[in-house]
Formats: sequence, C-alpha cells, structure tokens
Amino acid sequence: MSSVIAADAVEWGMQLPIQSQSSLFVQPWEDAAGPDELARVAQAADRAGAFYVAVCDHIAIPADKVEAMGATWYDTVATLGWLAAKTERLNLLSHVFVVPYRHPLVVAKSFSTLDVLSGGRAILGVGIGHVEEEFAQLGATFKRRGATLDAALPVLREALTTGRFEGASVEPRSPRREGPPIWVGGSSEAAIRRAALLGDGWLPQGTPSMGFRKAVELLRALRSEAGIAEAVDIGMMSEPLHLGEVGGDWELPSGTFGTTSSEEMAVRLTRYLGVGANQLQVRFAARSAAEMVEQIERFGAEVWPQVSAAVLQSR
Amino acid sequence: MKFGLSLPYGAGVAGDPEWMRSFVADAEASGFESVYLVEHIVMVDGHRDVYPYAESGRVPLRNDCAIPDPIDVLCYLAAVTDRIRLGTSVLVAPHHHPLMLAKRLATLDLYSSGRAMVGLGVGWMREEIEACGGRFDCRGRQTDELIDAMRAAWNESPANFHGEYFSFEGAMSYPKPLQPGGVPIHIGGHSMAAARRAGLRGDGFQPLGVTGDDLARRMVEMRRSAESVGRDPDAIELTLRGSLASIDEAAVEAIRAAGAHRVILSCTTAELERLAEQMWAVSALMDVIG
Repeated sequence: MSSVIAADAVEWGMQLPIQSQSSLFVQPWEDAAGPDELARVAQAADRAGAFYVAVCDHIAIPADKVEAMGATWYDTVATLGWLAAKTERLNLLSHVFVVPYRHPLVVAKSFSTLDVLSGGRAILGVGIGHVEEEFAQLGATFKRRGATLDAALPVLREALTTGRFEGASVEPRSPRREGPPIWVGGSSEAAIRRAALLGDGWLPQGTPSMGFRKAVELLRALRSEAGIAEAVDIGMMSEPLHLGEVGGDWELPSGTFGTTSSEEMAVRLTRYLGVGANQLQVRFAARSAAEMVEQIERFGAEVWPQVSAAVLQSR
Repeated sequence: MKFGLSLPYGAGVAGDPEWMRSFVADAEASGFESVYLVEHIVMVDGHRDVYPYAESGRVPLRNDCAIPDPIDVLCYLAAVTDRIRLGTSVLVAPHHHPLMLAKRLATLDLYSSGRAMVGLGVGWMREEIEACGGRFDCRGRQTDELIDAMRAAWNESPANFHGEYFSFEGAMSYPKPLQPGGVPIHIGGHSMAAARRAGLRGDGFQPLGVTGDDLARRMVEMRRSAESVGRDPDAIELTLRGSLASIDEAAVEAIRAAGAHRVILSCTTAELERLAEQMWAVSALMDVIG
C-alpha cells in the first residue's frame, strides 16, 4: 500500500467528457462527439501535465433513470486500454469501478492488463455503486455491496501484487511490485473508513456530511490507529471551471466558476486543497472539444503552476 | 480466403505491449484480415479437466504464462491500427454477463470503427470457470442465453430479456456497436453441440483443430441446425486453423475444400523478424490465391 503522488507535490486530474454522459454534467456538444474528440481531450490533458484522466462505470441504465443519468456510458477498462495507446504520461483512473458488479479475479485481470498495456499507469478507483436496478439487471446483490467490496479488496490486492490467488495464476501481473494503486471512492463514513484501512487513496464523491476537513482528519486518524504508516493520496473535487472571456451569448453551465483571472482561479483552488488533499479533480465548461482542449491547455500553463506553488509555500 | 493470425502465447509475448504492436502492425501491412486473442482469466494449478485441443490433454501453456484480458488488449490495438479486424478465439462464455459483455464489445467496436469480432466458446477448464464465480455444468444453455441477451442489448432500446440464467428489463445501454445487428459472433468448439449452436445462433463457426470426417460430420450438423430454423447455412462463416510457418497453396486449397472462409494461422516462433518474413510469404500467397 502506498501513495503515488510525490510527498512534496499536488496534482490535478479530470474526468473525461463524452465517455459518460450523465444528465448531471453532460454538455450539449458531447452527444455528437466520439472517440476522435475523446482522444484529443485526453491528449491535451497529457500535454498539459494532468496526473490522470478518469473514466466512469455504468453498464445499463434502467429506462426510468435515463432522464437523470443519460444512457451513454462507454466501457471503463476498454476505454482506458484504448487511451493507454493514445497517451504517454498520465495515469488512467477508473472513477469509479463498481467492484460488486464483478468477480474480484475478473477485476484483477482487467487492471493487471491495463497496468501492463500502459507501462504502469493504471489507478484502480473502486466504489460500491448506487443504482439498485442496475445491480438487479446484472444479477448482483445490492444490499450487501459494501461488504462485498470489503471482501474483494484483499483478493484484488493479492492477485494484483503476486499474480496469484488460492492456487490460481492471474498473469500478466502489473509491472510494479506493489501493483496499481487502489483509490477508494465515496463520501460516506463507511467509504472513508474503507479508504483509510484498505486503500492507497481516497476519491470523494460529493461533500461528506461531516465536511471535507473532518473527513480528511478521520481518514488520517483511522489509518494511524490501524498502524498504517504509508502515505495516502487524498482527492478533492472542483466545480466546472472556465477561464477567459465568455464569448457571444453563451451562458456558462450553472455552478460553473468562471473568471478571466488565472490568479483568482488559483486562489480558489488552493483553498480547496487546504483541507489536506494532494489531488484535485477538475472539470471544464466548454462548447466543443476544441474549446475544452483550449481550457485544459490554459489551466495547465496558467493556473496550476500558481496552485502548486501556493500549496507548497503554505506547508 | 481470409487470413487471420493468433499470437504465440507460450513465448510470453502477450505480456509485452510493444511486441503486440509490432506484430499487429506487420500483420496489417502484410494484408492479414484479422488477429485473434484468447481468454483465460485465471489458470488453475493442477486442473483435472482434459484440454481438448492437444493430444496430451494438457494445455500447452505454463500457468504463469501472460494471458492478458483480450478485450482490453484489442482496444489498445484498435488505437494503433486502421484496417485489421480484432477478434477473440475464444472468449470463455461462462465468465460473462450479457449486459457487461455487450457493453465491452460495443465499446471495442466503436474504438475500432466496426472491426470487432467475437469468438465464443463454452470453456473446458471447470476450475477456471468456478474460480471466477461461473457455473460449469449448465454452460451450454447459459451460452445460448448469453448470445440472445447480448443481441437484445445491441439491437433493442430499452432491452428486455427473460431467461433461466439472465433477466433484465428496460435496460438502456449506449454506445451500440457500429456494425449493423451487433458484433459478429463466431462459435468456437470441437463438439457437435458447438456445431448446433453455430447453426442456430452463430454468424460463424470455428471448430479449430477439427479435421477430416469429424469436421464433415460437424458441418452437416451445423447446416442441418441452421436450416431447421430457416437460417442460410452458407451465410455462416467457417474458420479453420493452419500454421503460419508451413501454410502453402495446397494447404489453403485443402482448407477451402473443407468449406472454410477463413484460416487462422498460428505462430511457431515469437521472433518478430522471422514472423514478418513468414507474413510476407503468406502475403504473396494471398495474391496468388485471391
């Protein structure tokens, strides 16, 4: 178990557009976009210094939930495997892979393969899932999904680090001795506990009821009580961001933080990391793939260096 | 005749992405139609079952041999190729849930601009299937349902399916495969049951390693099964096996005479330069044969 973000660093990453078109965050241009635009966005993030790009996981949306969730969700590992060949440096994160949908050895094979294909760039983000009808359609058990994930994590860890589990081989194994890192997703107290005791990192999904600062303190306390000395990577999330003039009659999506000042954006994001996180997941408001690429480039060049410098100075 | 290639897994090359990229680039440049990967999620120590594709009854691969997830690798290869079709020979059906597999294959089809093909077999290693939570004894009927349910997921929206092993109602799943009707499904296997399944449900039949009278009997069964449900047996592609190192005009003619539309050539070396030479030799053969 170990952190993958350097001790003196903070990093940013982004959930990719197009591959998950939840009504909660999809922007109009994504519907007509496909693999070409997806690759352009991921490659822009790679060039701009992002630590990771992330892909979601839903298999089949119940018809009565399509209005809220959309129905376009690309396969997680298929997408990350394709991106392994399209990118060079950044990490490939599942945010998050719903482990209780699958047998843990199936998950282990998928992510050891991804880690091999990407030369050690896979990060296995895991979660328990939330759509009860999707569990039913897949023949999986919704009620005990937290316990299922708890039971799966040690199996995954063993298979991913040793290439073995109970008399069975899972090869090829990760090129890293410690295997791909496992980041546990979710903002409930149970998820924070799971991240502390079984994870290499925590991926919050929304604000925890106790607040971020308390959640991070709890996570660190649990880890320390359990005698786990290894550092842990702690994530935060931002609202959609937009840097620069908003041209024409475009109205930024609701909840977007828009500014023409990179300094102002950097101050805001530095404050987010102040809860004790070392990783920030951002998203960008845009009207096209080209505009998203431009936002990513400007963020990497103008905003993030200021955030990074400010966080390090404050430590 | 279409020419495909399978990987020399025994040499450990499937754990080496650079090797696979070079291999597939050479295959594409030489005019090969397709490349095929196998699936074993785990290899179980001391398995009792008899491997049906070798005289010894033992699988000719060490347990620690690299057998990466084939769909993940094919997506990776889709990103670095333009023309070659990307297939499996075969996926082990009892490992898979139809909605999950339909999603993975649809996504592969999207990234490869419609170049996905799937070979599907029922599996033979009980320990492997059970280690991954699958059921061995009912795997034939379950495979039939898997195929029907995947096609429902690809062609209906919302998709409904009610079977003995899988049931779903109102399932919405995009992206859909680019290929009309879905990703072509070729039935792998050496048994009469596989021949029947190919006739009833397959877009193709891959009785790899079956020859002579055994093959002829299976072809009769495949055709009879197809006709019994009003399907055109000639539209079901037959794929047979050959050797990259030794294939020649006579061998191709024999494979064609057996009714095959495609031959998958296996490799006896993992040396890329040697393989490239052998591929170019077959490329010349393709020009002769047409």
